[in-house]
Amino acid sequence: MRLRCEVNGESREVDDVWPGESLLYVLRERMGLPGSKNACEQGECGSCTVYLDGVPVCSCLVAAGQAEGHEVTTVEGLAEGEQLDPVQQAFVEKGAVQCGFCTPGLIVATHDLLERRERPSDPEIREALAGNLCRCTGYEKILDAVRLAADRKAVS
Amino acid sequence: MSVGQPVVRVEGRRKVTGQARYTADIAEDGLVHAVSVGASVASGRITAMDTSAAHDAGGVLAIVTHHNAPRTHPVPGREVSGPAGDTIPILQDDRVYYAEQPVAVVVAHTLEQARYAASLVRVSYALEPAVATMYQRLGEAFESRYARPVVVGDVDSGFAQADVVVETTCHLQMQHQHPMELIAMTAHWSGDELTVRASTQSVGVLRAGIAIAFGLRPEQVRVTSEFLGGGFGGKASLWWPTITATMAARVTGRPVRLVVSRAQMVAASGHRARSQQRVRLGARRDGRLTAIDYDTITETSAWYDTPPPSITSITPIPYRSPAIRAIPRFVKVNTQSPTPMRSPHEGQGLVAIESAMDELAERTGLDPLELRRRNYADREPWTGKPWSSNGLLECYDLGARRFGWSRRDPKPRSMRQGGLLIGWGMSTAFRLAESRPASARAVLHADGTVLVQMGTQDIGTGTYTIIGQVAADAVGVTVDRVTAEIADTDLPPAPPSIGSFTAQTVSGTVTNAGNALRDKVINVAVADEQSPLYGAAPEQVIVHNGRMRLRDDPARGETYAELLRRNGLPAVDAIGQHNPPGIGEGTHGRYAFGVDFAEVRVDPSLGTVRVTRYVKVIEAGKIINPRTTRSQVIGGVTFGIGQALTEVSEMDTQHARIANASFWGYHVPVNADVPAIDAQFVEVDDPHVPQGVKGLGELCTIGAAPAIVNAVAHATGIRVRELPITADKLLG
Ligand code: FES
Ligand code: FES
Repeated sequence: MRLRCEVNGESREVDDVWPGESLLYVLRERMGLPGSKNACEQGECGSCTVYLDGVPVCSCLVAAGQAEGHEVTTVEGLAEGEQLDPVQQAFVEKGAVQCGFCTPGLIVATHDLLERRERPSDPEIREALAGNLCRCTGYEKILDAVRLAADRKAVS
Repeated sequence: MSVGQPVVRVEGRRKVTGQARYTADIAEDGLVHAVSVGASVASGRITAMDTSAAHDAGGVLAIVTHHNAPRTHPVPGREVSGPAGDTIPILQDDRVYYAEQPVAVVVAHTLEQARYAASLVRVSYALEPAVATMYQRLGEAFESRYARPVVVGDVDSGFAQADVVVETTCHLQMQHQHPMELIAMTAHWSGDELTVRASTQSVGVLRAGIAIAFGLRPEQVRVTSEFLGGGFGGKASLWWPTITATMAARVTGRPVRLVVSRAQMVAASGHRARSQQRVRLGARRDGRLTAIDYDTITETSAWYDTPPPSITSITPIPYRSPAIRAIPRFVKVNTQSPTPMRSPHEGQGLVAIESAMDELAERTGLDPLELRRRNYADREPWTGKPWSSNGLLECYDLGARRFGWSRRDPKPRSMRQGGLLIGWGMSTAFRLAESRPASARAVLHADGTVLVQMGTQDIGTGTYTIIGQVAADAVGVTVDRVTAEIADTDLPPAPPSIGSFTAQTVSGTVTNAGNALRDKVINVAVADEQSPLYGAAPEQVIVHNGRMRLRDDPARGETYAELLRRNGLPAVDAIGQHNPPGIGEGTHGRYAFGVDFAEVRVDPSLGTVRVTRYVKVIEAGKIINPRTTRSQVIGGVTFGIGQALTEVSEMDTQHARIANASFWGYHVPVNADVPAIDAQFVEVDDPHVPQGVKGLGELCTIGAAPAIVNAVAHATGIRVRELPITADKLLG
C-alpha cells in the first residue's frame, strides 16, 4: 500500500508498504528515522515509544496501516532546531543516559507525562515510566532528569 | 585538571535526539536482511531439511544451511583473546547442541520477507537425550585445566583449629544479560575484503575470530561499532550472529543485516551460568577465620571441554585465612556456552561466601560488619602479594555511617514497621582492577583541537567522555577541544570492553599518547627560531589551555595553534602504548573494593521483598568522572537487585529450552523496583596502576545480591539459598 501520514510536522508518503508492518519498521526502515528503537517488538520495553495523534504508543504494536492519515511525532521531532526540548536537556545534564538505547522511548514518555502533569510526584513518575525498561542507569538519574525538566517547564 | 570533574557525557546530545546511530540503525545501499532459523531441539542430528516453500516465498535471495554454507575453520575461544564464544562450527554439519542453535539463515530483500520465509523452513531431527541442567548430571562434574584450584595452607588443620564451623550451599540460576539493544550485525564484502558493523564489546575479538573462521588475514577484515546499546558481557566475544551474517553476505554478494529477536537473545550469546556454590568456614571464637573451603559446580556447554576461563579463574575470597581451598568443577549441559555477566566469578561466589560470613556472625555473636573487619586481608589472600592500594576499611566506615548500621538490632524479625518486616544486610565487594595492552593515537590539529583514536569501545559507560578528559590533561587543552574516535579495527588496537579494564586502559594509553604528542609539539617549538620558546629546554615548557609557556616565565610562550599555523603544519600526531603486567602478574595485587548496605521490607503474608534503602561505597582509586560513574554505580546496583530478586532464565527441564525468553517472562528491574541508591566513593592514591585509576564497572554489581540475601535473612529469619528470592521461597 501507499502510506501517507504526517511525521514530525512533515507530510510523508511511502510506497510498497505491507499493511501488517509495524509503524516502528516504517519509521526506521522506510522513512530514515531510526531514533525510535526496537528492543523487543512486542510491547514490553517502551524503547519504540512515539506519539500517534498526541498519544504515546509502542510503535512496534501499531500496524503501518493504522497510521494512515494520522500524525506521528518521534524523538527526532522534539527539539526545535538546535534547541533541545527541556526533557532532552535534563536527561543530558543529569546523567540519565548511558548506552542511550532506552533513551528515545523514555524521552517521549517523559515528554508526554509533563504535558499531562506539571509537577508529577515521584510515584507518578515511576508509574508513568514503568513501561520503559532501562538496563544501564538504574532509573534514579532518570527521575532526577524528570524532576529537573518539570521544574524548568513550570518556570518557563 | 579535567580528570575528576563531572564532565557531561559528550555524546549525550546525540542520544537524546535520536541521532546516535547503533548498528541496526545504519542504512546501506542494497542492504538486505537475514533471519536465523533456530533448532527446535536441544540435542540431536538434522535428518532432513525442506526449504522449498521458503525459497518460493517472495523476495528470498538465499537460504544458507549446513549443506551450502561457506566452509569455516574452528575458532578456539582462547585464540581470540576474549571470553570464549561459540566454538562449535556454525552451519557446518548436522549436529545440534542447544536449542535455537542456528540451522538455517534466510536472506531476503526485506525483514518481513525474511521472517516469513524463515517460518516456512522445515527441519527434521533425530533426537538425542538433552541435559537441561547440571542437577541431572552432578555425578559427572569434572575439573578443567583452565580453571585451576587454589590451595593455600592446609585446610584440614585449619578446620581442626576452628571453634566454629559453618557450611552453606547456594544455588544460583541461569541469568541473561538482556541488554536493551538486540545483537545486530551488518556484513559487507567487497571482493575479499569484509566490513562488519557490529554491536560488540570488542571489535578486535570479532576481527580475530572472523579472520580465523573465514581463512582471511586480519587486515582483510574491518569491524566497527560506533554506539553500543549495552552489553554486560553478552557482546564480548564471537557468537554466531557474526558468523551467520558474514556467511549470508558472502552467499548473496549483498550487504546483509542480521538482528536477532529478543527471544533469540538467550541463544545468540552466552549467559551467567547456573552454579552451585558450597562454602565451609572455620573460625576461632573471636571470629578470625582459620579455614575457607569453597567449591563450585558450574554449567558449561555440551561440546565444550574448556570452560571459559573468565567464569572460573578468579577466587572470590576477600578475607585473610591461613588456609584456603577453592576447587571449581563443571558439568556439561545442552545450552549455549556461558560467559561473564557483569562480573565473572566474584558476582556469584560472593553470594555464598557472604551468606556464610553472616551465618558465622550469628554463630559467634559478632556484628556482621565487625566480623568482616576482623578478617580484613592486608595482602592478597591467595598469593600473599601486597595490595597496590586498598581502601576497604574506609569504605566500611563511610558506608556504615551513611546507612546508620550501628542502629541495627541483630535479632532477625526484630525490626518492623506496620505489617512489614525490615531487614538490614551488608556485603563486602571486590574485583580485579587491571588493564590490558593497548595503543592510541593523539592528533593535534592546526585549529588547536585534539583527536584521539583508539580501538576501544563505549558500551554506554562513558568511554568517549573519559578519553576526552584524560587527553585534555595530558595534552594541556580543555576537554571541549578533544574528540574521540573509537570502536574501529582500523584504529590503534585496544582490548575488549570487559573485566572492568576500560577506564584504566584508557587512562594509561591516552595519557601516554597525549604526553608523547605534547612533547613532540614542544620540541617543534623550541627548535623554531620564530617561536618565543626558541632555544628553551623542553622540560621547562608547560602547557595550559592549549598554550605552551615557560614554567618560570609565563609571558614567554605561544599557543599550539599559532605554532602549527606558522609552520604550515595541518596536524601533528603521536602514538602512545600501554603495556601493563599480565592479569594477576606483577608485584602487587590490583583490586578495587567496596561495600554494600541494603535495607529490605518484606511483606510476611505475601512474601514480597522490596529494597527500600541502599548505600554503596566504592574505592576504585581515582574517579575520572563522578557524574558518569555515579550513574554507573546506581545502574550496577540495580543489576544486582535483578540478580537477587527478579531475574531467572527458566529452563524447561524436559526439552532443555529456555521458557521465558522475553521481557514479560524475564523480569529485569523496572523503575518502581529500585529505591534511591546512595553511591559514594572513597578515593585513595594508587601508585601502581596507571593514573591511579582502578576500574569499577563490575564492582558496582558485585556485593548487591549478597547484601540483599543477608538483609532478607535478617528481616525474616529465613536464609534463602537459591536465587532469585521470589515470594514462594519466603512462604510456607
Ligand atoms: S520495541 Fe516496542 S515495546 Fe519493545
Ligand atoms: S541507558 Fe542503556 S538501557 Fe537505558
